[in-house]
Amino acid sequence: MAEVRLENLCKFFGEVKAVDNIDLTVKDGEFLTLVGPSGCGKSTTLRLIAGLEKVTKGGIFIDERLINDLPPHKRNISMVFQSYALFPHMTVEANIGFGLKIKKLDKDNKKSKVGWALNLLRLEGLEKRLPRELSGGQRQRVALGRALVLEPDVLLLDEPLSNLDAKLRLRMRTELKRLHKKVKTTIIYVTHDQAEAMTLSDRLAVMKDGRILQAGTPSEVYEKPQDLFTAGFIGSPTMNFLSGEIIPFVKDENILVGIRPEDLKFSSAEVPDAVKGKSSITESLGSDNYLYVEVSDALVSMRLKPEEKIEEGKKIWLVFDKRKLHRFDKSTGRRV
Amino acid sequence: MVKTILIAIVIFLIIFPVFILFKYSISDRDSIVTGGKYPEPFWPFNPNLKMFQSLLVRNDFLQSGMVSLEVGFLTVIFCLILGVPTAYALTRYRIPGTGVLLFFLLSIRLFPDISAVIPVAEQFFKRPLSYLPPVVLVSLAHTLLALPYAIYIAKGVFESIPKDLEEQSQVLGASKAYSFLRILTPLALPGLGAAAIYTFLLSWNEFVFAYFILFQGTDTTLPVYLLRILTWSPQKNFIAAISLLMCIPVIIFTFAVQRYMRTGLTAGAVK
Ligand SMILES: Nc1ncnc2c1ncn2[C@@H]1O[C@H](COP(=O)(O)OP(=O)(O)O)[C@@H](O)[C@H]1O
Ligand SMILES: [Mg+2]
Repeated sequence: MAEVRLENLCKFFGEVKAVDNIDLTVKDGEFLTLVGPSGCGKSTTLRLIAGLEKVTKGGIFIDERLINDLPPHKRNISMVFQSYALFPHMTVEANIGFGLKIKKLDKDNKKSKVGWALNLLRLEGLEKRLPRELSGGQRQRVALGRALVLEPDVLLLDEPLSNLDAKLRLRMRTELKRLHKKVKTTIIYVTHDQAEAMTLSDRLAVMKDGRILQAGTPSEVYEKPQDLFTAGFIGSPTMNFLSGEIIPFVKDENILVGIRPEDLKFSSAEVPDAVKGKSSITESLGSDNYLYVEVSDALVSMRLKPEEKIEEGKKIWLVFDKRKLHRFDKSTGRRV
Repeated sequence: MVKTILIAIVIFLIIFPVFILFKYSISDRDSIVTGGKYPEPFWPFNPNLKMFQSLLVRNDFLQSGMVSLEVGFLTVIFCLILGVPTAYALTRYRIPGTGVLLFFLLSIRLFPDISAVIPVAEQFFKRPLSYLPPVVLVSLAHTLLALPYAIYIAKGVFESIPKDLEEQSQVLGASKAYSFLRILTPLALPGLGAAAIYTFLLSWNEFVFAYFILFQGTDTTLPVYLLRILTWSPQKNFIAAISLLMCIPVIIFTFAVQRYMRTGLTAGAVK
């Protein structure tokens, strides 16, 4: 149980600013996700918190105690690596008990904690197996269990689901959520998958080029993205962007208008404040159908109601939900 | 069918020389010395173990065997002490010029031993190195030859152990020392064992350097001893018995190494 605070945190590798002046507070018991494209500095941030990288500038505080110079094994932090990093010469049991053994826990105590982890992660019966005899999902759970038994102040997870196949990934997502409800540890989770970030987190922080662009609850970030990158990165299918001058009620060439596919409707007859376009292909994503509409030289996607159908090549008018419109300054990319 | 024949040929090529050695070593000396039958029989003539019996009580032979063992073990120790930390540093830290360094390490092996031996031996005969006992000098020479290989093998071993494992153990509360002992060592040991055995065999078989350094003295390694024997043209079966005894550690160790090379010990660690 602990609060983590990053203050002007920087990590440079020579010229590369892997982490560039990050300010972030993760509250006690919170599930916070760092999300961003590959190479944006997510792993480096985690490794700084874990103590595996030396801080270039700034401070890392746990419960207001500066821990910059504490070696990893004195931080009471656990981390699950993207690769799981299970010890190949140790059984499941020994892997999970590894940290407890170092803490010199007595046998009974250790056994009951390992048993708790095995039970929590549904690994009973696999105690004596070696990592190479486990499936991907099982390995992943062993790695989680090994970190959780230590009852760390903070649990760091670096893309723990990215090595699993799609189906297992969805199941483990739910498991993780259930797990967090149960153990209530502060979790900092790293992923490049915005859907994962949206479903799992209490709060998420969008990163790009070593900086945090926006931090907030999933709905805050989804509903009020503060810049173009965040707007385009969060949400799937992605937000549409149109130049302000072609939108009748905006009429401003310095503005880029963003609108999500579900905030658009179409009309076959001209209506006020609508934008003229031509229907193109329809795409089905299982439960939802998306229509692509050609608007001047852009292709806009919109979500159709289940019963709606439209042929290709029809002249239509796009109707905007004005409350859900996002306006960005074209030159700075910031929300206005 | 072709495959079977090829395999048969290969087996023949491996087995036949050993068979010849074996045959001579257990043949009665009469078959070679005092008018044995002509043509020589394919199978051993009056097989017996007399040659081995007489060899194993010969002081000069046993003495040379001991010297070979000593030199071998010293070489292994030198190579591991120098090679393992070097290999570890080369894999775990970014060091500028690593490629050049590795090239120079191997460069001594680019010359034929017979050309490399003179400058090396000359250093060994000068002070201060000349104060060291000859056995140590030969071990140092063998270290020179084996170290590059030891480093290469050990480097491969450490590269096969993901850095993640060490970092993971530290995040779980292990100090650097604990992580070295409990994670790195058990995983590296089989591979380093292979490096040690390779080094030992190289030293055990080495002739040119040992000859230059030891020939004048009383202590000799087995290959040099064999040459000494040859100079007084002994019977074939005597030499065969020595050669066969020299092969034994080679055969044992080669099998031992193979077992380790096959097991993928780090499987299942990452991903
Ligand atoms: N040890 C390192 N040496 C040099 N550059 C590094 C090192 N680790 C990471 N980087 C660089 O820092 C940036 C951020 O990397 P990383 O934190 O791994 O990104 P992410 O996890 O978001 O994909 C990348 O440009 C990467 O190349
Ligand atoms: Mg990463």
